[in-house]
Amino acid sequence: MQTAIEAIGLSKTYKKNDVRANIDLNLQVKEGEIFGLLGPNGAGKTTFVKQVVGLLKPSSGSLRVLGEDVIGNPDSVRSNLNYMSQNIFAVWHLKIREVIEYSGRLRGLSLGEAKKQTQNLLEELGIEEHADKAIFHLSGGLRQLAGFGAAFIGKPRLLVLDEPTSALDVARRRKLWEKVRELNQKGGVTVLLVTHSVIEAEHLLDRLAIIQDGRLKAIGSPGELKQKVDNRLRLEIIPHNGGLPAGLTRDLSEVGEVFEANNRVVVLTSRGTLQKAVGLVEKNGLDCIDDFRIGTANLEDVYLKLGGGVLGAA
Amino acid sequence: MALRRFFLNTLLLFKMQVALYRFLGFFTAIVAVLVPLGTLFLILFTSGATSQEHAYLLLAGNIVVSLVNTCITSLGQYIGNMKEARGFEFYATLPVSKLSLVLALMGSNIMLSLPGFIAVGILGWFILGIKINIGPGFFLAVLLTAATMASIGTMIGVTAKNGQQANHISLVAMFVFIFLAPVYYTIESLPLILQWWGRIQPVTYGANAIRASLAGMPVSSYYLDLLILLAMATVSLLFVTKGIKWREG
Repeated sequence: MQTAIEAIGLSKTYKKNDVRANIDLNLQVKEGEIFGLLGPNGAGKTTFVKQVVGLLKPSSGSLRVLGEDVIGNPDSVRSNLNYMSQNIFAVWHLKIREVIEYSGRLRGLSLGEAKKQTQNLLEELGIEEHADKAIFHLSGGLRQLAGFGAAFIGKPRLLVLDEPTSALDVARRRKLWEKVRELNQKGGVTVLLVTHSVIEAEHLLDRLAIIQDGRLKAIGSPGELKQKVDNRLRLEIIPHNGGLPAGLTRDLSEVGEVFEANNRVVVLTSRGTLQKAVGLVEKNGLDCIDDFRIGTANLEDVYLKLGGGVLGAA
Repeated sequence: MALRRFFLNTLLLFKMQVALYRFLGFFTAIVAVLVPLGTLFLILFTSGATSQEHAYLLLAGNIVVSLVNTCITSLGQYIGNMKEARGFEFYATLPVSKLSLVLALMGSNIMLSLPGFIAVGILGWFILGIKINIGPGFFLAVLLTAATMASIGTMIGVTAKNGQQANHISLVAMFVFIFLAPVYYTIESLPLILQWWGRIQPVTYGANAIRASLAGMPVSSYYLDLLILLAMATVSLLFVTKGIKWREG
């Protein structure tokens, strides 16, 4: 498998405020894979993406995208790369259909092909009824979908998506992930995806990198990372009315690592002590919980463990 | 092949920009017409056209004012605001050249100035009662003047720190290019220092060329004016294209 993106010792320091956004990043994205970048706000994910698409000049290191040196020749990759810009202010006056169609034509499609692909995308993204509305008349979600359409059109080898679903409802998100997967599997498109939606990403990504404070914290497939970071079992408790009793939290922290995520209390525990943890919940907490479930550690646990957010000490 | 792609992309970007006037067209056309017409009426009511030569000066001057208004002020402000909102990012990730985008932005604004100078031409001819010649020579003079003006407008937009600064600079530029240059008067009638200033300003050559073509008496200086405008337009276009930063430092 060839390399789609190769960063070696890549660093970026913003001169204006002397912030080091990327520090000595070394990573490879292989052609044909869906690669995710995860990390808290300000971790340096968007900085990395902007360097990949040629919008930002790295301070040091090397960066090759689809075999081209992006630092020396930032224009070289644009004909093979589609980037979903978060900023479509420049075309606020265009209709959704026009934004997609013009993007296709500017990427080299014939008029007929651009029109055909635009129509297909409008239908697939479920925005056909809004196709002739101008961008500035639309909600944030519809604007994002228009941006998706503009990013999907053409025949890209690499698709770069920076937090693409932040304004979308669950149903549309799913539809989008399906489209991304389809492009990847049927079209062989490499995808670089920045997202905060860790759970959704887990089902989509072939590999991912976790970045924090500009540095690479971990890289691998979701399975590898989960195994590397944690092979414990996961007891997820959904408390009602503001949390578990303090006594129960303390007791649980004696049998595993306890932290909060998305208003849930998670206990990561070894296989031998899971029964004890369940017993504690059954004995002291059934009245104050809505639900609980058992599973293996998920990507969110890995992310939180590497990126912080631990509530109780194990 | 590459050249064909360049022209096609420029045309597509131009069409994208022109679509802007679906929303702004009415108001921008009103402004484009009102500024030169207002100035024309002001001059007519205060001093009037003293001779036929003076009438041609006023008419050509107002066409230049119309071009300055749309190609420097409006374009400078639009690009400044677009830059502040990181609007270039959308284009920067498409396989298009900066020159294509610059030409498209300029072209759409030149088109915007059409209602202004058409209105001035018609009313000027009607009120001033002079014979005007609208032919290829006139359009060539207008196009080259507009291209130079639009390069200056683009330059203001891309070099300003933000949209507000672009607004201020373009207003100052409008004042400088209209009132401190031989637009309404011959260069010889200006104080010496302004004569020198006038000689390095594109509006001087634009006003001269437009005036000569309107009067239907292309003289040798007309071709020289066009040549100077062409040189100024080319240099400023190259400068502007280099000045737009696709990529942040």
